[in-house]
Amino acid sequence: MGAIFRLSLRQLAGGRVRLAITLIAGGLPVLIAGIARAFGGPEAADDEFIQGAFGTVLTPIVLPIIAMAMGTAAFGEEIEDRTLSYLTMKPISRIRIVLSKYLAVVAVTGPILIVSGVAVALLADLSGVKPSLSIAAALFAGAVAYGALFTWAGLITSRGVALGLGLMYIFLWEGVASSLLVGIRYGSVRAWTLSMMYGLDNESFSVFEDVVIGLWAAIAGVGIATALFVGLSLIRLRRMDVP
Amino acid sequence: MTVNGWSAIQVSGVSKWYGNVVAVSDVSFKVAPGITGLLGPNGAGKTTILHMLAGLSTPSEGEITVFGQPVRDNVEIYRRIGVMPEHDALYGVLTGRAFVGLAASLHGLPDPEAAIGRAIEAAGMQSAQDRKVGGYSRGMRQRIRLAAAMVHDPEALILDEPLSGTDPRQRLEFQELLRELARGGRTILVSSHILEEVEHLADTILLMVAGKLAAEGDFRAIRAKLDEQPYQVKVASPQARILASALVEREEVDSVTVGGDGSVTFTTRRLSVVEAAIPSIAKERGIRLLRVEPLDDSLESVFSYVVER
Repeated sequence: MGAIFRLSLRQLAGGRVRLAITLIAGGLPVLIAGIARAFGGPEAADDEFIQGAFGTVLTPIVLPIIAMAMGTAAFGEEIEDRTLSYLTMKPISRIRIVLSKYLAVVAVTGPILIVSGVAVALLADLSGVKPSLSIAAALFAGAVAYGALFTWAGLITSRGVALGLGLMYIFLWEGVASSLLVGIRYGSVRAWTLSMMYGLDNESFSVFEDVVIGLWAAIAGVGIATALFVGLSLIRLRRMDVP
Repeated sequence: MTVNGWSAIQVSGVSKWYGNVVAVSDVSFKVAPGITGLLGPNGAGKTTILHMLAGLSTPSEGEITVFGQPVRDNVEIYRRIGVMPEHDALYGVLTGRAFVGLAASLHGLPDPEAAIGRAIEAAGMQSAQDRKVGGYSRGMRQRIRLAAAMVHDPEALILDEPLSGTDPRQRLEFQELLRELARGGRTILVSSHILEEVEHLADTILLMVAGKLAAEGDFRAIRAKLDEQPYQVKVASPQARILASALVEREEVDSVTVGGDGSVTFTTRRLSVVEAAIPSIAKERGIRLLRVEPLDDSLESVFSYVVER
């Protein structure tokens, strides 16, 4: 598994445009929070600031965009440039290929989000270990679930289509539907991420009290979604014609 | 096409279609140890067949086995075969050595460094092995892909257009390497759309045209059939008229046309004889040759001729 994981890390980190988009997206919440603090925005650590930073920018926009850029590239790029056959024609099982690629997506996406989230937390005066750990764990869980979803998306269609559908999904399902319909929160990565933040530190993130589901329901949601989309990726890789 | 009734590769009644397009239709053949050429014009279905042989796609109908087992998702078979696909895609972030090393690592070889060194040396890539593959020429890309395909010393090699993009010297080295591997008892299936490439390499050929197997067997017998149909060859030269008059004098040449672009197109039924004579003609008459190329259309008509018979 190590060789494919290392190769995938190099590929994901080697795409200059993708890396630039990812770093800009990751840096954007920090920049916005920094500007807000510097130019008399909402007071740090108040609900409006935390809602804006984590509830409006980081979780519903930055998290899925970074996961989408990395996840759809994991297989999508190799299908486009036709190098995937170099892996599938080797004596290794398809599940090893899927897991290696998926773990590389999480390994790249997770740290960028954690650094961005913790930096915003510090700007929000959420000092101390507990809020930072809550943010790190929640964003990492979001990266785990989104990573599986977008890795699968990169396998089932062309990268351009996957990116287009991904954006629609982020806007319509995660943005509009999960905000308006309470039931959809049980199937929303955004709601799971915010629920984990709140569940691990309900004092710092009390602003999310009305939009979250239970901590264990969120953990179960992440686990089920990850298993589902990794499984679907495996089925797809077993059945597809490799170009 | 078997040795003592044994064949490494068996293709039985295989068809492959994409929607309404039939790429391969009811093809059956066997491949025994030695070098077998899979010959046919572009679009004949060679790559589709090789894709299925490599387990990259599944037949819509029929069965393919390698060493008696289905290939797709078969870890045991992938240990025994090496495949070089037609496209020359490589991981641009890797050096040549790292690319071969990746293959060695995925095969779980006990002494990967030694295997990598042997494969790179056999492919003649020692001097460029530490450069990123993104900067390789077409010929170098072919050679490093061959090194990766044979790093685990496979019993069977499936090579799709391996000579494409190589220069004449590399081509000779490539052919010698494949012959040496075949002498060691390996099964090698090589595809090409250029008759002369296969002629110098394979003992037996499978001839595909329009998705069907048009002929199979001993190369010379099929070649004799093909020779009844004239080839068209285009030669670019600044002294096109002098070359044309020299070609007209040769009895093997059926017709000669001088093109407006300073080229000569001639037809012949004995291509190898004329091809061998062209350098001497050029030397004797002080003619500079820029390019000699068999016209693909002509090849396709030759293949079609065999089918029509």
